[in-house]
Amino acid sequence: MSLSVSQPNVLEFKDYQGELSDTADMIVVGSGPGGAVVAKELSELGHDVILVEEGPPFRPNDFTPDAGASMCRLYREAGMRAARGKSMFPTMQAIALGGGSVVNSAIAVRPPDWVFEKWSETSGISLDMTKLSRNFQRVEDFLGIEKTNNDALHERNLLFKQGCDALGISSEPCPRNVKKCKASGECFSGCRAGAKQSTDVSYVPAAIRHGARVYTSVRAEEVVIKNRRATEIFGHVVEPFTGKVGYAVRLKARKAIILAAGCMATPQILMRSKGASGPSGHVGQNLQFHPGGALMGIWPHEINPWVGATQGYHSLEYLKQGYKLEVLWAPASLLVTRFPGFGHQYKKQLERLKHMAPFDGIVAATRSKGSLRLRGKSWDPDLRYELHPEDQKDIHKALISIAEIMWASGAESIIPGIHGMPPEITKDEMHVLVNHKFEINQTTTTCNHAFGTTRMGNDSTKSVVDHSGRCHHLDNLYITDSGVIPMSPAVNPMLSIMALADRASHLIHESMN
Amino acid sequence: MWIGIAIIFFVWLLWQFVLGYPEARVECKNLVAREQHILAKSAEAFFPEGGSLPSAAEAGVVQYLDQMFSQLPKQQKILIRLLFFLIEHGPLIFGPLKARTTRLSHEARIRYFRSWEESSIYFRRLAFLSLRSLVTIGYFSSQSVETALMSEKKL
Repeated sequence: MSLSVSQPNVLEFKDYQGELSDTADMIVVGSGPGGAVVAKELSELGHDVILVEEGPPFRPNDFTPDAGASMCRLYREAGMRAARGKSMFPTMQAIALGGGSVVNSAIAVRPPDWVFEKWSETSGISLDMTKLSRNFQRVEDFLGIEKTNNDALHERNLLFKQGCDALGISSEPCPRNVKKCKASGECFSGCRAGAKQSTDVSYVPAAIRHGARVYTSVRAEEVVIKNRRATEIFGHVVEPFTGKVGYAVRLKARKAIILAAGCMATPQILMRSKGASGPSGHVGQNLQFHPGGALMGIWPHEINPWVGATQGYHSLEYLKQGYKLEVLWAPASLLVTRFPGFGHQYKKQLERLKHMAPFDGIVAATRSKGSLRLRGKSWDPDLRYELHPEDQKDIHKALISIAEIMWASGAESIIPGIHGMPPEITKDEMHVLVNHKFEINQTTTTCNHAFGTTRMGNDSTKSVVDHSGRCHHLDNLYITDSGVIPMSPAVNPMLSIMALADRASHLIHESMN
Repeated sequence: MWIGIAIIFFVWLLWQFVLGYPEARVECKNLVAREQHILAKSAEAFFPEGGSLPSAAEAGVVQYLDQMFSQLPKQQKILIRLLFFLIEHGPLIFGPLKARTTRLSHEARIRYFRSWEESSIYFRRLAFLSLRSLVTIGYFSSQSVETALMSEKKL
């Protein structure tokens, strides 16, 4: 199942020879986990669908493990997007057919049941696992999600398991949407092996088989609202990698428009569309992340950490306490910047890379909040994020748990990468990490799971969309990306986004009939 | 007298901010000579000659970042240019040295960078980390570095 871009119903930048105008039953904006699922389901249910994506399609040969080139080509703002607060929080969003599913580590895990109870409490909408289980199962079956194969684990992942086992902490191979993983550890720069079942090679081709038309390199910019109905979308063709604006695009919807451009882009489209934001004032508010911190362990033997599934093992032991622990790999150049020292000292640290492995923790951060605002005419938003002191403590706890797993698996030292701490600590110096007065701006805290900016809820004064993803004040404008998630799913959000989108597709279909 | 002071000040500004940079490297198309020089000197501080790993110059850090620069969005280009300016003229702002970074001796430059890395001011640490990230991305792009560090890497 791979996307054939030579098909007449898939347009790329080079195919546009003038202004584009088209009409369909449904216009779906965004081809990531939220949009691709909806496009496939609705076209399968017999609707005429147009899927619009701002990014270009990538084939396995287009990917490169080179960090700089990947950041410039695959990520918005060349991978330098950050939310501002007490610290700068890097947050990476993809710009590609397939959206975030192209560059994530393919973890597809269900949240525990209590997450849905919290969602129901927060949103006032009954969202329990017994009702959603069917949607999760459909996505899992379609993508062939299974736990990471033993052959793909290798030493870095196995050390994590070994440490958890020694401490009596539960752990498991990560469930992933991957087939025949080559264990190259290159998920974040795109899968050169073509193993990752990102939506560009799974859901989008399925939508095309059912007649959907896919317009890549098209940015949806404005939704036209008339008499409570979303009638059409205005936008432009955008040149890949340069962002140069080209021909005008006008797409009319006979039945509905579904925004799934991601929780950073969808609010911007709403804010720029007259009458689309609604009276709640919550569009772009309630921005939430899973802030994450990592430590680099050093073992006496060679690990060759670049080999093995990017994130092949994780522990859900501490979800209720607010954090999840994982194995990590990323382009080495990004991981080593936290190494201490200069010159020959820095180079000597690099020579030990083959003995190292990073583990990370992501925090639910339910008490922290952010917001998204427009930045003039730019489509790069102004992001603010304030990390709550209790959530900051959870990051510290996660780092301590990671260190304990590292020691239990035989690490001889750890590079904490935290300002104010020694550059390297041994097990005997663990108290230094435990007693450290941890502040968030002492280390690099990434925020790569973003959600909540168009949250779902029953109360139209406190939320943007209803249980089906429909904007409260409009009859046929829907949102199905991570923006609708009412609060943290506690785990990596991709599968939850897809299950909610699957659910929304059928609710949209029912409402149309 | 005021005209004389103004002229001296103007000459000092020229000396500090504009003059004295070596000519541009011919293979660079995007970074101006001044930026190349700042980058080369910074990269040299992180990855000097000697040892089993290549130096920044051998790894082609400046050439790589020049090429990467062409792919950056406008906003990021501006931010990186500001970063270069800040790093270069940081000694004038933060002291105690009163020469631009590229005029410092190698040892003084290391001390200067260390003061950024260990600064109690978050903004300075962030600027330092940004510079080091850029240089390290360029360094790791070199095939010789990857071969030396990650000999087992295969797909």
